[in-house]
Amino acid sequence: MYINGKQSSILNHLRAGIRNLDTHFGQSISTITLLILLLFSAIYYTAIGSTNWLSVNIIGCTALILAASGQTFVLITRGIDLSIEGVMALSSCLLYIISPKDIISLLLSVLLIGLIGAAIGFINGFLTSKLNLPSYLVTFATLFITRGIANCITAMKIALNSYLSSIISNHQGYILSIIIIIAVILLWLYLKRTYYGLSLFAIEQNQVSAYNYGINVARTRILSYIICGIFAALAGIFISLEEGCASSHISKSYDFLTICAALLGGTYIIRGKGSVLRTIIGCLALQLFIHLVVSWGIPIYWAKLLRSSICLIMIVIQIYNTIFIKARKKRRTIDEYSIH
Amino acid sequence: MNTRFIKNTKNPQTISLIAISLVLFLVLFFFIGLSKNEFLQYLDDIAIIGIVSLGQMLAMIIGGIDFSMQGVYCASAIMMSHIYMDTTLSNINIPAIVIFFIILIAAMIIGALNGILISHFNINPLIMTFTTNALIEGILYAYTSGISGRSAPPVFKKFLNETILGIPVLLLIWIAITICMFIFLKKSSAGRMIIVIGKNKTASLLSGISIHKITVFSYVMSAMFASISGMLACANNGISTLTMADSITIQSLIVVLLAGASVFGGNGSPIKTIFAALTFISLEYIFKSIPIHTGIQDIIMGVILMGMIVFSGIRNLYKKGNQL
Repeated sequence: MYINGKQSSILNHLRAGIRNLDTHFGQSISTITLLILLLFSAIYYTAIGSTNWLSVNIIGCTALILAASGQTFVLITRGIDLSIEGVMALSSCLLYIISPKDIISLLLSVLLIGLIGAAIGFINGFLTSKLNLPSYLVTFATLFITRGIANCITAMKIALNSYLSSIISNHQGYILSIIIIIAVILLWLYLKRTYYGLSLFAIEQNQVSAYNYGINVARTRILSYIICGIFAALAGIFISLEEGCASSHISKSYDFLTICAALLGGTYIIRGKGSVLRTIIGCLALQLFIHLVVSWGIPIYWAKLLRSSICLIMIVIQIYNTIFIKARKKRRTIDEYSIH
Repeated sequence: MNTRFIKNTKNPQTISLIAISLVLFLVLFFFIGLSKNEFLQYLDDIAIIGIVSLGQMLAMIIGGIDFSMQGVYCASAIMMSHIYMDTTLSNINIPAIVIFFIILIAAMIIGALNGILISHFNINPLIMTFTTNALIEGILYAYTSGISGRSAPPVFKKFLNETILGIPVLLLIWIAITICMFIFLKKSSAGRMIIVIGKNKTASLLSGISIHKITVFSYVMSAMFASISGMLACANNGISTLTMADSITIQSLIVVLLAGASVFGGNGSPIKTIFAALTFISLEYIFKSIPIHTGIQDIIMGVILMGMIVFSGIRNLYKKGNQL
């Protein structure tokens, strides 16, 4: 449509949107997937007469949101934290040992377990940033140590006391999950504007340039691991409260789930780029997908395969995006040279 | 002991590794004591972990890591027993050796996929191999519906039960593979290129080495070793299960790091892997003889791995002349 010899702004926007669709595809795929899954779930669960599917899914993915948000902080710094599973198991077992019976003792125990998570994160961060050791090896060793400690406490599922088991099982569980998700979002929005957040984005773009600009790369990386440790500890507490029991196997395969959620959320593993907001969307999409698969009666083994396939598809999309962006940059450079 | 040998040895770690492995072997042999069958099983365990570690060592020399070994190891064992049983039940006679090579080629394709995506598209080796591992595990669970436990081809079982001059065949296979690997890394151009790429990627690129080809090759070799060891383990145990490779990654990592491989790449010796495997399996058998909690075993494994990683990091800093 032409108005006064110029294209209308709507058409321009549409054209620009289509042109940029492939470059932003990796980032927007989580939102598209979530919207499709939400629509599909709404139709499906209404048809089968289920009313609480949304609250069940939100409670179900809160632990994953906490753990995956922590993982995103580390992924942005081009590292990885495999100890999340171990820290979650350890915090679950510690909650069973402390066994708080009122709100004050519960808050104090959350603080204590959070501090233990932070200490483990500090060890991971210190060894990876100060000794320049590969993060996957250090955190893999920490995973075995933390899981071993949790295994010594309890390998079997042990029920928590009545006060702890009633926190999520009553109607407040849904509200608590929403409060936690909002708190994570607000924390991310706040951190983005602090010195730490800006350093994180600088490291995300180019670690060497960030160092040359005077940013303390080591401190930022250590802080990321500490945040990840705290988030993993909180996720461990939440999953224990949700299940009403403590076990060293309570967080099995959470390492892969956090990476999968972060990838689905558009965290770039090739360039180190990501956002906690998009990871949360990725977590919600993953939870809805798994819930749908399980409610259809598909065996859990197939769910495992589908989950890993999602991860591989996201990697392929990221590769495609990287190639496309490289090609576009090259084309742009050639165009600029040909103009001048 | 010849003191000149100690003085001339550049790396005191080698001497300490050999000494520790021998001490542990003697402790196991004289203080704990093993029956004939237990001793043969002990040798077989060393051989299997030794072959897996050779694959992990190649991935680490190039500066990466292979977390998909667990999946490839388990998948090879399960596929071998399943294909053999299915074909036998439906009266299709495929020789066991043909099944062996088909699975080996499939594993090499998985390794090539890992290598291509890691080297050509600069994907973090951990995430790539972790995803491949999850994918293989998912396929295995979907294929077997979580039920496993089929027996291995009797031809392989019979072959591995034999001994030559009192030495188990499996042990001889491992020693032969290790010697071949040693010659390959020291004498062949491809082997030298693997070490050079691990030491300095930029320098090797500038000197005209095809980094992509060599990286893909090392991941293919890594998957191949995992597959071979999985099939040998299946034939040795006589049965394949879904949980048979649960801790194979950490075990191979500990052995490779004990053998003096650097976590930064460019360093690793197949001969030292023999002593590292001996040390590790001796330790495992000593733990088995003491009634010890599985949690404490995990902690000890984690502490050993952490100690080796930190040692490697400090050694690297010391070499560079940096300060903490």
